[in-house]
Amino acid sequence: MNKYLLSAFLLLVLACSSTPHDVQESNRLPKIYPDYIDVTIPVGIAPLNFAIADPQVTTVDVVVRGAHGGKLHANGKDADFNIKEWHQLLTQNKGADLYVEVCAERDGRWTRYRDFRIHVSNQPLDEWGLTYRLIPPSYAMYSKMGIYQRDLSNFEETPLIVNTAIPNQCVNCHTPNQTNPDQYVFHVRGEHGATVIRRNGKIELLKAKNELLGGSMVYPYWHPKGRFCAFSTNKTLQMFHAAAKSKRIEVYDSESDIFVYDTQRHSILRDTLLMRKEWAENTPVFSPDGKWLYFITARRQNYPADYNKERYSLCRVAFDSMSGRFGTQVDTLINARTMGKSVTWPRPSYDGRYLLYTQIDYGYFSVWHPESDLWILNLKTMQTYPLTAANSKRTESLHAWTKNSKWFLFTSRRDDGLYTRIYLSSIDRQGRATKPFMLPQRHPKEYYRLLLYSYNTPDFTLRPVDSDAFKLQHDIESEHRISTQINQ
Amino acid sequence: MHIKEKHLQLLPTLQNALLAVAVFCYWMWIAPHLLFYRESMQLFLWTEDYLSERLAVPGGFAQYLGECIVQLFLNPAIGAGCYALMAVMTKIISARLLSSVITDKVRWSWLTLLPPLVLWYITTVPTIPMTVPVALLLTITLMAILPDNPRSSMWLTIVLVPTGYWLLGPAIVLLPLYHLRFLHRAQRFHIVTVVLGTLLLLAGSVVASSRVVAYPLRMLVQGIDYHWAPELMGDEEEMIYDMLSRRHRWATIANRYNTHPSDNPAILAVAKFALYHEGMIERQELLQGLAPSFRSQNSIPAMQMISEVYLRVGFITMSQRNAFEAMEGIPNCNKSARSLYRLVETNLITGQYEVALKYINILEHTLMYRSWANKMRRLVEHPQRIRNHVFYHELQLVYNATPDAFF
Repeated sequence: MNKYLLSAFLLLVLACSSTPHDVQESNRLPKIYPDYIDVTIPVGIAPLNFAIADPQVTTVDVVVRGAHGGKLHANGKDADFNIKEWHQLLTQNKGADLYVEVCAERDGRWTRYRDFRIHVSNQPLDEWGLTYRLIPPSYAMYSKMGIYQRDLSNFEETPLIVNTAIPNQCVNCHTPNQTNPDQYVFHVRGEHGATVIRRNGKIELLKAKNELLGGSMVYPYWHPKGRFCAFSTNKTLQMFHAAAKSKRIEVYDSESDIFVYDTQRHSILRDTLLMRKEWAENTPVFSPDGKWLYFITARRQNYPADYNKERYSLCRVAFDSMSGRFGTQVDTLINARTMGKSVTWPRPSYDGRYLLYTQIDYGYFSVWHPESDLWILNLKTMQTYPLTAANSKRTESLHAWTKNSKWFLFTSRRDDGLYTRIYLSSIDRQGRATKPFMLPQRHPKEYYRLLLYSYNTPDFTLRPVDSDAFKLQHDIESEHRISTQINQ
Repeated sequence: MHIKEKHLQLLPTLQNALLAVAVFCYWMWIAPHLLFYRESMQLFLWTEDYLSERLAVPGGFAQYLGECIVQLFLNPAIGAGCYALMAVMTKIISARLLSSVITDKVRWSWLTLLPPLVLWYITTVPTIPMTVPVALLLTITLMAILPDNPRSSMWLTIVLVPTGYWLLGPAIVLLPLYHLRFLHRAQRFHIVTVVLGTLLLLAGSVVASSRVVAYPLRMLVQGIDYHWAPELMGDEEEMIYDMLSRRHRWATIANRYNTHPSDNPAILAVAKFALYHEGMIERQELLQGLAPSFRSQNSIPAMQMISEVYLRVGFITMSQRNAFEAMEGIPNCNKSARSLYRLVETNLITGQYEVALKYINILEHTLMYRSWANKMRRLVEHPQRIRNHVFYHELQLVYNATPDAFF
């Protein structure tokens, strides 16, 4: 009896796992999801698990061989690699190629595709992981959203703050200082609105609005020394397209200015150069040496009629962190009028070589612009050009650098045209992007296809963010807020 | 005497049958709009992630079962049947519980009708989700299986209170209280101490859970999915019109509106479309009737029915927005299979096939929308076939000919 039971069990096991047999050779590359063919990856990244795009494929059998040795095997519905073995293989093949052999079973027949390569970069990824917000690509209403952190060496995601803990509030714009998890800022909008600032191990909650400022603190960016944080203040409006092909929403500001917040004195530093009445200044960022404040600015238009005539230039003004004073002259680095395009989300690399930005036809809120592409400005030669290898026909936007400025991430809607996903890429010696790869997931096909959230405002984090969500939730629900003062 | 006793024995069965018929008829013919209303606010997926997401919070198992039942409400007969079954089960379990405290079961048998009536009432309150009746039903089931021995019952209660809280939510509070049934046969002080002790254990479980889940303590005390904020729930009239528009009962809508006119922008929009559909008004009057609804996102049923009408008049992106907003407005942060159904349609019409395919992928993990999603997959994967689909093809032509404007 036991013999029969054992045989039945073995038959069941064999029936459940299929291995390649009578394999037909194909000289085509496999169509895999996500597209990891010929991508460049850092040592330490989570396994690039993938599935065959064809839904009729029932089993995939994958062998990965390193040019410097080592071998990995995965068999199943997805290529789901052992995390420990994957990291060993990458370490062994740093600076070399991995060769991926894919066999797929469809209708009981096995096909072996042409091998593809994955290049393991010499450039290290020093960051532990990422922070990002997950939010549905909504119109006006929102339900669950949260700010999360993700370990880049595996698939573990943990919440930092989710708005179920503070019902009906919106949390946004989590921004660390040059990937440092000990210093960050984010906003809470709603009944318990606040700007939450963590600095020197302490969390402070600022009043969401300063009446004299005329609005809220919005897009933040830290001064490298950590005392100052630049913000914009925006009066943002939305319009909805009735029948524009592949466009749903227009987001624009009827007014915007920029200022710098002094975290020591709880004061706001303003300058008439950065709050001109006829101009909309926006998205301020400090240079990595802290001596310059980059921002975008556009002549205000007649809204909403001329919304598509609003084009932002990239400018900068000097900033003295000792005195907290701005320079007296604004330099225009990229002129929207001559380019005929609009610049948004400038992000200088932390090594001072480049400035990554998004280029769109008009406006600044690029996530709803399918023409939105990543461009780079070489700050030594002042040459600017598109990061062709990183761009797609769909929206690329919201990018951030690693501390060593060798890698960057960005969000893109290339996957389905609506839901933004995170991609990582590196910059080579010529200043060109390598082919980006989608943020790995254990079962990426199922995960991304069922996920009804977009990734928003992602950034790298050097270490895990040490956050007491319980205390933070209580602080946010309390009435205690620090008022900000205005220094002219 | 013998015959009378026999009749008395039949009494519970008769009561059960009457209760089942009454509950079924109520939901089938008097309040089916509440069934459709609840069904609009769930996206029950047969996936491990969906189950583990529910089990990760207190009361999540009750919510999971509740949503599993609510997905069936797309068919009102099944929905009414589910409620009837729940009412009868509640009555049967109540009878068992009553028998442990009362000896004259026949005389007091009417008492067993009270719990199902309470349950019935609860299910008619739109702001109380299905989690609550399921949690109550499962809690009284646990009460019924507690041993009749005070000591064994105490130990089992101590185990069941924290686990029951995690699975069912605060409804588990009935379990410690049920220990009071031993008051008449054991030392009172001992029984009261056990009850207070287990209540303290429950309070401790609630406080401890506030450290591990992203919900405020007040919601954990009240139950995470035990109450929905009423702001976007809409009123009964909106729910009725929403149900009728969802079922394309245009003649009924026209008659109802002609008998009881309403100035609610969403109802006006649906009514005008129904009148237009029935040939009672011209298109110009229909468009005038729709105008007040352009900026009306007052409630979830209103947004859903406006979405239905906008789709039919060719305002595809406005239909899409209302479906999306209705989904995002769901008070417990659920998603909506009904909204995704509409979003598949709007994205198909506007040519955003990959987005449509994403929603189809999701709906293929549901029970009630799976076969429809399969059919839509064939259209989306082969867009040339849309030409053969009269409804979607015509709307595609309308959409492509529509000049862009802002709303």
